[in-house]
Amino acid sequence: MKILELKAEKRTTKGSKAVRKLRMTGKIPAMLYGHKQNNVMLCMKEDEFVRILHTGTRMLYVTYDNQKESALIKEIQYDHVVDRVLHVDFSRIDLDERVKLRVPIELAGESVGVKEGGVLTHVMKDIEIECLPTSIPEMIKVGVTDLGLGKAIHVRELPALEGIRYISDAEAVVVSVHQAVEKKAVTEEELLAEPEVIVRKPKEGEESAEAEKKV
Amino acid sequence: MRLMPKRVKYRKSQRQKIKGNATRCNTVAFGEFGLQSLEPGWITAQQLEAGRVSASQSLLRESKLTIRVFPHKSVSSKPIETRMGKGKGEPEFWVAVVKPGTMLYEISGINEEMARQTFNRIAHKMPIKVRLVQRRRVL
Repeated sequence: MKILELKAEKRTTKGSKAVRKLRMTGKIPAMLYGHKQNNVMLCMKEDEFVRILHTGTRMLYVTYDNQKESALIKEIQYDHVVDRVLHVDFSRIDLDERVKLRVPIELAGESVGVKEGGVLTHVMKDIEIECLPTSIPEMIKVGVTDLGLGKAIHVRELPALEGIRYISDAEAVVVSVHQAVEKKAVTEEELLAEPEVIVRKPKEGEESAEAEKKV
Repeated sequence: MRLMPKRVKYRKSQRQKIKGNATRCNTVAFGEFGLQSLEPGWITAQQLEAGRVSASQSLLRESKLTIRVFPHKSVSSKPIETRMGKGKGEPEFWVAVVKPGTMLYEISGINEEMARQTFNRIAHKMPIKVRLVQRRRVL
């Protein structure tokens, strides 16, 4: 994966009010941390960052104040309603240092089991791997063409890629093909049923006290 | 399938206000595409079921539809031509309380064009504005 360069500026303002003003000018706040060095508060142009994000890259050269640091995009906060990036976390990473991160799993081909009438379930959509920052794969492609009915592909059966180690549980299922389950028809009794009201059961002592009151 | 809780602590609930945006259940978690609400509101169990049925007519067998909301809230009403007072009415139907950003349905196993068509059918059954969203890349 190609490492792109991102221009950023140092920022001195912090707090929700200041950051809101910053976002109104088309910039987004970010933080650079790691390697037991001081945290650096940054800001960058939103459109420039989003363009880089769309390329699928995870490693960046962040430049600010005549400094250039290699960093991994650790976390992105989104506003899910407006679909905007709110904040970005960068983690300092050396290019010869192995990193742990999650990578999406993509399925390729049409399974034999599906042709026989089965249903393909993509259980694990992303997987945790360990690799060098220069060899981060965009995705891990898994061929499902030979996957028959009632069969599954586990993490241990994933294609071995050079310099990449799978961290997720080796026995975990990535994708499986199973028989389609027909849903039971709802009976009339079930349709007319009312939810049961949970009532606290009185303790033995309380019960006798209530009985005395009634008397 | 009738959507309502099996057991409840109280049969009747107060109406409550719906404030702010959804801070949870606001991402595509189970499928590839999701139908996200853009307005606050109540979605009745009947509307949810209508959406599911309309989607199942256009969906392929290998695709999977997930309903992300559940009608936990009971709504009571008084019978017609009844004088005011005499206590709260009986529960009539069940609703899911939805905030802007809540993911309502998710689909996996189909392409974007088909997902768009399916969600368009569901959107006609919804009482609020909705939109299609795609699963975000993991980090």
